[in-house]
Amino acid sequence: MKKTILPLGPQHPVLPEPLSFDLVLENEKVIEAVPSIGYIHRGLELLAPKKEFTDYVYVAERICGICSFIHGLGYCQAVEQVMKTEVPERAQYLRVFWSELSRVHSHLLWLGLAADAFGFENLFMQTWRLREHVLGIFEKTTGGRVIFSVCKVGGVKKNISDEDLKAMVTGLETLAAEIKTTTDVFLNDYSAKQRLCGLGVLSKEDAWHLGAVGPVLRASGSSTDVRMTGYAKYGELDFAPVVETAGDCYARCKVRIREIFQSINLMRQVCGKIKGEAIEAKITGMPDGECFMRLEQPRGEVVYYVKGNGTKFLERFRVRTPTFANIPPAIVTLKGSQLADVPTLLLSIDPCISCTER
Amino acid sequence: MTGSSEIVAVNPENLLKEVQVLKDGGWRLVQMCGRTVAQEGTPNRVELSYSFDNADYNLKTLRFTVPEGSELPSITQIYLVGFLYENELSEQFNVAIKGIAIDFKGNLYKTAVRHPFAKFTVPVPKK
Repeated sequence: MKKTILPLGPQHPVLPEPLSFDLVLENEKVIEAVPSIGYIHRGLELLAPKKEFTDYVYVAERICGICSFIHGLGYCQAVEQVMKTEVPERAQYLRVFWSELSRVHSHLLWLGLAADAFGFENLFMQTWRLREHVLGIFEKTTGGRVIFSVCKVGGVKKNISDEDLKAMVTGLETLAAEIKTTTDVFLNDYSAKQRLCGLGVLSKEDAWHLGAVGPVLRASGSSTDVRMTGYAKYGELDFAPVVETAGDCYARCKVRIREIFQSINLMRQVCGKIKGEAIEAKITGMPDGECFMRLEQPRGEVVYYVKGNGTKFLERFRVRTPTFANIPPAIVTLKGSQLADVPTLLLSIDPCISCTER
Repeated sequence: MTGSSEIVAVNPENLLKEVQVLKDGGWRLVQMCGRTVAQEGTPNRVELSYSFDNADYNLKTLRFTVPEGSELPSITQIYLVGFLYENELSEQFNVAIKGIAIDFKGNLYKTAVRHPFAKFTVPVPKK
C-alpha cells in the first residue's frame, strides 16, 4: 500500500507548544511516528557554568512555565544535598504546598487542553476558569502567576502564615466541589468516553520498559511515584500513588483527575502539620561534589544532576524532564492508531515542550 | 528518604554486558548524561553516567570515562528508549555512539556550535 509521510507540527492547532512528528501513514492508519525535537532548544544547561550557583535557580525555574516551582525546588534540593544543608521544617512544608498547588494547576490546564483536543470547547473553558483560582493563590503567596522565584538554596523566600494557609485550603476545598462537577463530565460523558476509552493502550510491562513516567506510567498499573521516597516533607504525609490499570487515554485522564483531589488533601495535611518559624538556612561554602535528585512533577519523574567543584560555578547541571522520558511510549502508542486519534494520543502524555527543549 | 542512589564504575568494554544484567533484573533506564572532564595539561575526557532504577526507588548509575572522540556502542538494542539520550550525547559531547536504533545523525538539536558541551568547559580548580 502507498505510504504517505505527514508532518504533524511544529505548529498545529492541538499543540500548545512546537513539537514535530513525521507520521508515516497507510490510508488513515499511522504505521510509524518519528519525533523531532530541538525546534526551540534553549541550551539552559550550558548556562550553569556561567551563573553563580545561587543565581542559577532563576534559570532552572524558567525551564518550564507550568512546573516552574518544582524545577526550582529540584535544583535547590540537589545543591542542598551536595552542600549538606539542613532546610528548616517550615520551608520544606511550604515547598510541598507550592508543589501540590503546581500539580493542581498543571492537571487543570491539561484537562482543558485535552477537552479542546477532543472537541469539547466548553469543558476547556470551564477547567481553565477553575484554574484561575489556583493562579490567584500563587499570585497572593508569591507575587507571580507563572514564575514565582520563591525557592532558594537553603529554603524559601516568602512565608505564608498559618491563618492564610487555612483560608487557602478552605478555599481549595470549596473549589474541589466545583472541580468535581467538571471532572465528572470527563469521566462520565458519552462523547468524552468515546474519544478516550481503549485508545493508546500501554501495558504495565511496556510502560515500565519504555521508561514512561508519572500519570502515563501509573495509568498502566505501576505504582511508581517519586514522592513516596519522602523528599521535602512528603515522608510525613499520608498518601499513596494514584493507580489505574486500563493503560488507555481514559485511565491517564482519570489518574490526573484523582491526583487533583489528592493534592488538595496533601495541602490540607500540610496546613495541619506545618510548624517552626525559620524559612531559610544560612548557606556557607561552595558546592563540592555531585548528586542525582529525583522529584515527582505533575507530568512525572524529573531527574536533576548537579556537579560542583568547590567554586561558585557549577561544573555541570543536567535535567531529564518527564516529557523527554514519555516520548518513546508516545511513539509506541501512535503506531497503529488512526490519524484522527493522534491529537488525543499525543495530548494524553501531557507533553511539555518547554521542559523538553530546556 | 527511602530508595538508595549508588554510582558504580564500569569498564566501557563491559558496558553492554552490565546494561543487559540490569535489564534482566527488571531495572528501567532513567537517564543518560555526560560531562566533559577538562584538566589543564591533559586531553579532555568525557564522563558518561547511565542511570537505572527499580520498583523500590533504588537508583543505580553506571559511570565510565572515555577520551574525547571515542566510539561507544549503543544500548538501544537492549533499551530502545535510550535513542533520544544517545542522540543527545553524541551531539552535545565529542563521542560517537554507533548503532543507535533511531539515529538523527546530528540533527536532533540545531546547534550553532558542534559538540557545545565539549567547547565550553569549566577547568577543575587546583586544590
